[in-house]
Amino acid sequence: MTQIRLTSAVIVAGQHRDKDETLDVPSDVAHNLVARGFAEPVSRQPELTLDAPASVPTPAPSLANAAKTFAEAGEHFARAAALSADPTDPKDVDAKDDDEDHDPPADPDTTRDSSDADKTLLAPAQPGEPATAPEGESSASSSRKRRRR
Amino acid sequence: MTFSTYGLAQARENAPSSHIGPFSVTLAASQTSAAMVYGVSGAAFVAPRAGKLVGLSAQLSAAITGAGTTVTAHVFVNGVAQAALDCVFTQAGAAVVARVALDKKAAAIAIAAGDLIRVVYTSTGISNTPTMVATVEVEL
Repeated sequence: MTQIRLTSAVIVAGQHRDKDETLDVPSDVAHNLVARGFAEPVSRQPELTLDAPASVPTPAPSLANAAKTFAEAGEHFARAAALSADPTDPKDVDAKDDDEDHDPPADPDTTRDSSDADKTLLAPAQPGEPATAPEGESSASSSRKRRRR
Repeated sequence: MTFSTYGLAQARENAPSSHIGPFSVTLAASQTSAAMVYGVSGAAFVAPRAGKLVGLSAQLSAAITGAGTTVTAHVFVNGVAQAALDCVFTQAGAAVVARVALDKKAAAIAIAAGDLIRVVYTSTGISNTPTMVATVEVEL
């Protein structure tokens, strides 16, 4: 498609187009209209482009460079292996301590109570014992009594 | 392996014509290549692609009067009259319809994309002022 400005009114694609109207038409149509003086080409604004650098500096591929890269990779692997093999590594210990600090020890009583309560609710009734706690006594407290006995 | 293009060629040959127009005008006496109006303006029709002009048909609202007078509808392509497509009305003939159809293969008038097509008329000293409409038959 080519953009043109009409210098005379014409019918394009079945539509009336006035003089000075700018429109896009197929290139061959545009060429013919311009050649016959019915339109003039519209000069498009040059597109803004970023100047690309003349050359991008890249290391020349050489055996020396390859060997250097390989050696660096080897060092990384060696360090990673050493860290995973030695659990007393100061960094690892620190990390563990940090974890433990952040997670305070759970209250054994609270833990037991809640887990026991669950167990009591789910476990089948023992022979000789009532299946459910007496009225006014929660299942958790009844199980605690049982444990004390 | 060879492929036959006969079917395609045949399909093109049998393709129905389309029309440009109608161009219309109220006739006046003694005009030379007076413009006929397409739609709401007297602008030329721009061919959207290459094709052929294969005919022109024109119709009058009433037969022209005035002894020995004539009215002719012409097709202009890029300002050049295509005489082969002239539709002529004569007072003597008293016709209200005229049509010219060209042989699509041998006589059709080739047009290119962007060609400007107009219909104009020429009249001698007619006594009445009928309306004329005309349509160009094309294959695009």
